[in-house]
Amino acid sequence: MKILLVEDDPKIRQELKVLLENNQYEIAMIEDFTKDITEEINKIAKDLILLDINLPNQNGFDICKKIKEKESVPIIFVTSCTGEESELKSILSGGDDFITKPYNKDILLEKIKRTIKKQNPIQYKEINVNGVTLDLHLSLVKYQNNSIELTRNEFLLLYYFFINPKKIITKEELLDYLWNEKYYLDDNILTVNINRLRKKLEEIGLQDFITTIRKKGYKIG
Amino acid sequence: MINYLEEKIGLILWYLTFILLQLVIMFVLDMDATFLIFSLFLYLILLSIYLIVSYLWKTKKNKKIKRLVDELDEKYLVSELIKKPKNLENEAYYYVLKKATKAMNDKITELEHKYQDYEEYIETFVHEVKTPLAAISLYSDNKKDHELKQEVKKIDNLVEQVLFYARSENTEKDYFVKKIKLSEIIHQVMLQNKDYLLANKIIIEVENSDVFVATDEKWVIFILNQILNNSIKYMDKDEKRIKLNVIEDKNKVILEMKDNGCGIKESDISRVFDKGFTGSNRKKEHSTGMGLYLCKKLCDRLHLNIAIESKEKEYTTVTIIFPKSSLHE
Repeated sequence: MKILLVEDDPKIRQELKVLLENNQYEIAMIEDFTKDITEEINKIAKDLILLDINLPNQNGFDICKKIKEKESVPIIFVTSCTGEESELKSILSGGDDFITKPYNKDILLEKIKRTIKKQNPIQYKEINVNGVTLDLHLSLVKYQNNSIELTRNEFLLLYYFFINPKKIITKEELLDYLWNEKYYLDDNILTVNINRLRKKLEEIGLQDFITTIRKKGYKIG
Repeated sequence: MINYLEEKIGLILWYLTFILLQLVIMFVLDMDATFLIFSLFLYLILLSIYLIVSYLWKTKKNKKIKRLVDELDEKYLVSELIKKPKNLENEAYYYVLKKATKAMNDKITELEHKYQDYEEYIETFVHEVKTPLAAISLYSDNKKDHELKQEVKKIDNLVEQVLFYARSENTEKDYFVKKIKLSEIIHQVMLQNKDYLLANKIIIEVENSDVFVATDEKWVIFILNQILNNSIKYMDKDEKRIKLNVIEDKNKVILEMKDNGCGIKESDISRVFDKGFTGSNRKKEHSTGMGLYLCKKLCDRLHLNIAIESKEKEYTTVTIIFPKSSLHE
């Protein structure tokens, strides 16, 4: 996934680049704002644009309109104006979403994820890891001939492990993920939930499916 | 009436002197007075009629002017509506009124302009200051510096207060009402405060929040942010809890936010929405006394009802009621 940053403040641009790269996005940037940038934007391949509204000599709304005439790339507006006017304008000029400064990391990442998802809906029915199946529709976990139903937050936890097999997942990462899914857990409750999940997995004959990596986090597969 | 007679005393005395003089002349010249006395008597009657009629006419006119002022919303504009008087004595008053209201209106316009300039400056300031704030915020995220992040969040909160204070004073409608799920609003508030909540080990429960309300998203986010920040600030137990619950009924949606913090003294509770009120027992620093005041003010503008209930040392519950409008259908 490649994101194009259109932001004139070099410091913010730099930090956004680091943040998004840490979250496995590829980044392209516009750095010269002295000329008309719409043409340059059109030339760059991208899956999403983060577009600042207040740019030197030009404004984001107009740029958005021009881009949308040529291609249907999703655009998230970024602004420090919080008035109703800019929100309305962003909708009218064809923007897909709207985020206000100062960037809240979690909100920004979630909006990006959501906007990209809208463009490419991916529907799995089930995921397999090492002979264990997670049924995404019925929120069941199946192993050999046994299966057990999961609660919503147990399911979310396990889902995150399933989409990241063989990778060490930190508690922080799990918390980030769960918070984005509207489960506002704290550290202790997360541990409780993981232990409860492990007990359930043991009930269908899965011993140590989720392994603890000391001082680092957890892993499956 | 007595005032009026007093005012006309000159005229009455003049008449009486005139009658008296005629009587004296008649008496001295020893004339047959019957006819003259009759005519003098007629004079008196005519005078009385004149006085009564002019009294009634004038009181009516006065009433009309008074009513004109009473019915006017912007009373300082009254001089535009009053007719220019024809008689000599009122002319000066009319002149004074005109001049005074003109001077006053000029002053009002000047102040309005100044205020508008100030407000525009505040808006610009807030927007400008958000750019470096955004840079620091991203920097602290990338460096995983949670302490710095929390401090930035505090500054941002104060800056938002300034912005919304300026907006709440503005009489124009500058909010944007749309239909939105309460859970989405709560979600954004939670994400904004995630580091703060996790650092303080607060247990969050959110229930039944998948309900639509028709309101301005950003204003409500600001309001919930203030309330949440208060809750976190005044936590005093080992196990810290904040519970959000939504109750929907036929014509309203009720959002309850309950914390198990230190609560509010009974004697203070009626004043928590007052501007600058920081509580009589709260020793916490960094209280501007603006948070809840702004919440109340913004709620009033959005036609939301906000109420607070508390038991000292046990809990505080803030309730916000969203009326269901035709937008729901």
